Amino acid sequence: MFNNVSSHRTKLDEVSVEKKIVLTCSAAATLFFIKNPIVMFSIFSLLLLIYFLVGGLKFLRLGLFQLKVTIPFVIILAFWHLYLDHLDKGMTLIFRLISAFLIANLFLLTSKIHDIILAIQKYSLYLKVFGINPHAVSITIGLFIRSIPILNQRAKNLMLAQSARSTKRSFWRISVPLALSILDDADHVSEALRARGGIKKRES
Amino acid sequence: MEKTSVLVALFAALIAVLGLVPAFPLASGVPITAQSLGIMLCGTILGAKKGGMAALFFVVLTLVGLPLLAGGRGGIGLLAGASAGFIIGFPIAAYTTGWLMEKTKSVDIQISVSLSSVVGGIIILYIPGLIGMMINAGMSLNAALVAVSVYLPGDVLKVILATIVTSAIFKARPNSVLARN
Repeated sequence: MFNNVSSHRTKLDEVSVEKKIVLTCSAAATLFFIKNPIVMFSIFSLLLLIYFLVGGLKFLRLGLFQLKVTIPFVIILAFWHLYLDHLDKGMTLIFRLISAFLIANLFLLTSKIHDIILAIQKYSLYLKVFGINPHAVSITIGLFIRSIPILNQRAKNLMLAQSARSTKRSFWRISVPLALSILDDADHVSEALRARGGIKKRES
Repeated sequence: MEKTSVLVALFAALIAVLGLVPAFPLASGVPITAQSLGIMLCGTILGAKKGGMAALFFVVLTLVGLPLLAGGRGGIGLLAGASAGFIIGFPIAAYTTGWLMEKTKSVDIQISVSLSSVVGGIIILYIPGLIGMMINAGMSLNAALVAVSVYLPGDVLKVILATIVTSAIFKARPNSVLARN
């Protein structure tokens, strides 16, 4: 499910995830201060150049392919601003959107999800300041990622059971059993956690 | 402690799984998804604090890069898209829904759930959502309101569904609806 990482290794793979997160966020934040379409377009071209320099033509193609999720948004923005006759504003918004996705994807394509999660866990230690238990955060992240495929499979099973008993497939009929099963799981898993020592109250 | 972590993780996963239910992308660039149903359920079942935490957890991990939003979207780039406001609004909406559930404990469960999910899951969620559309898509408030009105019928359905699910759980196992404890 989380196969964001390209098989293509690049120079950016070696840079630490922390540095990349800081760079990605600051670059994405800067985009919001740019109002000029020409500057925005130059940034977009610069990003394409960065993709090329980082991983060659193949990586650039991969990066452009990843942009397909933005196509509907771009079309809507283009039509909307053509209709309003705000071509400047429209161009800025479109290139901001594409550039933001290029920046985010550059980070995602060059970092393993595993490393990203590790970085989050490492920095969740600082959440202690706000009274949040970092050990609880780590356990919750692990449980969260593990439960997605489990819940998805359960929803599918419930759907099958439902369609075996009815001519119609309807999502809403499985929602009550699905929610009840999640609450059951919560009971079982939290007891299992407690039986195995539970969540550490304080980081030792 | 353990129970809270597990509930937060599982309900955040529920929001993610609801994103796998096919979404309908619409003209305004914000798709109709079942994910806001997950947000409502977080609030109505878990209550303000835990429900808000589950939604916040989901949003943070999505923004970091897990492709969990409907249509397999994820990453900080989302903040430049038309749905940015809705994504930021998810935790606020879940918290408000839960808060209202807790405030209306003495009222009949169905009324309490529908009221909380209408206020939290629709009204409160749409405020940051509209602001996001105005900033990121350059729409005027009126245009954004017109664009958003398309989602209302779907959201009303989700409120009905949230009411059915929460009151069924309340009937079967009253202790499980933490917002009412």
